[in-house]
Amino acid sequence: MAFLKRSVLQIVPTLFILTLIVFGLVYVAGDPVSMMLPENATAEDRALLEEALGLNDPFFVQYLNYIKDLITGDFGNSLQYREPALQLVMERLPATLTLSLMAMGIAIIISIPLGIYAALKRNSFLDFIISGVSILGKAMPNYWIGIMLILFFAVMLPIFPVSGAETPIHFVLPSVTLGVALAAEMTRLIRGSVLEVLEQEFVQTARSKGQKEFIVVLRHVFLNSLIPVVTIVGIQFPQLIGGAIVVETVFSWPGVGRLLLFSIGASDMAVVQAIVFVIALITIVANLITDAVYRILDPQIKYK
Amino acid sequence: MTEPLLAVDHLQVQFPSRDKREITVVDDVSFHVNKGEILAIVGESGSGKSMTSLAIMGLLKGGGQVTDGTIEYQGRNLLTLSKKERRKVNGREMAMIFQEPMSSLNPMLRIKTQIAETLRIHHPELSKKAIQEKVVDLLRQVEIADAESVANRFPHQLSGGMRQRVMIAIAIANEPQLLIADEPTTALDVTIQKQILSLLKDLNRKNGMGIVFITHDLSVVADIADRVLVMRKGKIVEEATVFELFDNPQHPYTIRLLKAMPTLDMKTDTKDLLPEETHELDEFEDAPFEQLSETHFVRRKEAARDES
Repeated sequence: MAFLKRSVLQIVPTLFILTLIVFGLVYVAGDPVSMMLPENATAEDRALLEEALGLNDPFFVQYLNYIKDLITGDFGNSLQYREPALQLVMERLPATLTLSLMAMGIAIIISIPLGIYAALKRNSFLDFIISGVSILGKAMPNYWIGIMLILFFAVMLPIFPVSGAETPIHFVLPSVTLGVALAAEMTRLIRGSVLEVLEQEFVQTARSKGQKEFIVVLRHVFLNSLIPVVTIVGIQFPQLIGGAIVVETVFSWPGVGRLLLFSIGASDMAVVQAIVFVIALITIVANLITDAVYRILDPQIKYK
Repeated sequence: MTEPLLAVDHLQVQFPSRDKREITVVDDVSFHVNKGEILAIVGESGSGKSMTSLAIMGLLKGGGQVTDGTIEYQGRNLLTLSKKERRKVNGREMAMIFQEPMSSLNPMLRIKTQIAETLRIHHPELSKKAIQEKVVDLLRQVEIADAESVANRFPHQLSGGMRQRVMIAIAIANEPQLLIADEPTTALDVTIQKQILSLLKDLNRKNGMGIVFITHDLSVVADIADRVLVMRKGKIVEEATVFELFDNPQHPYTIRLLKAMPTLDMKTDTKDLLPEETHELDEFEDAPFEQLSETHFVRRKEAARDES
């Protein structure tokens, strides 16, 4: 309960500051009137529309109106699509979330065994290879990985489709593209973390009990090495969504990322605001989940 | 003569070094532990006493390897056992407690889980309930008052002394014949140290459990041990019963260790402890053992032998 209370206390001010930044940026950079009116509109037309939209009100009046609308779930209408902005975002959010979650799943599946193996066989040939490939994986930009994957596995070897999100097989290339960098980062992290825990005395205690090495590694070493890994996963999830913008563009993925790109191009500020707001909310939720997982993993946090 | 519980013969342990030359940390070490006996191994840091104990448990890390000699437990050479057979010995026939009670328990698991683990490994037939009862019973055996509540706690909720008691509970869970205690009281304050020592003595008396007690503290040795090995630079330099050692120390290193013990009148002359004199000790390094009594052995040079 105390945890929930503290979380709410954190979320409210964060959201408040967030709305201020989002609104402020659009206030400074956006020019909705020229977007909405045809090019041959007169100065009187502009003045009339500005008045109608409340653009002549002082900053804080406009901001308060914006907040009032937000509370009722009204993010304004998209200029391009003539639809409520929030609805547009929500329609595309599942595709992006699925993509990000799958990328994360792929990263976890790849990095845990590789990281543990590299740590256990420290300084071996395979450790060297794993570490080297990890650096490579982190260094390659994901649009390049995406294009290469399309080239090899969709064009030269037509196994996977190039674009779209209709069937599960459509998910393979985009989620691999998005997951590679994270897998690389996590492999290195798990390797380091496992190496550190291996030196701890309680590992020796477990061996002195006559425990099988496999269980020593899983129960005593790996569980204890998870905490820094959880941190990275928590921090990286929102970044994955950021990365999704690029990957969605490469694979014509019908998600929030592509919507954001188009909306920025078209100065469709209501949609941009809604997307920034939703991604920020996801970030906050991801952090809360990370916090909760810490509590489950590490009894020392719970009791402090 | 009855067969000793543990017989270590010409043990050599080496570690690889950077320039590919092996570093010998335990050299030609031979000793035995009888059933129900407490053998203390004393020596300064780096004398090889911990490495000897880790070699016995098969827990050498960082590339360390037994390169020569045998370790026989009740007539079985532990070094030739398969990994699987070796695991059956650890935790059941012999167990170990370590120097740092703060870090020798897994911080993420409850006390009961960690004690139950060793029971489950060696007695998979035990029911959940039987294990639970045994855990509480073990905690009582190591004189923990509210055993049920302690069983449910995590290590960080216990003091150092309590954690060392838990470690002892884990070690004695399967009633091993041999307990190896690697400086078990060094990290504890003096009153707790006394309590842990008397607990170990009790267990030794009640269960007839042999103990190898590793320490650098001679006052602890006087308190607990039947026999003593003095180690220096990976070699045994003197072996004697505790009475012989304190009454009639022969090796200059032993004499210096004894002089280093603080006494009330503080007559200890720190000059005796100066490191410059260690070259004199080194001359004794390869001297042969001389037998002074049935239980007293010392490495001495020819010259030293003539003088005495």
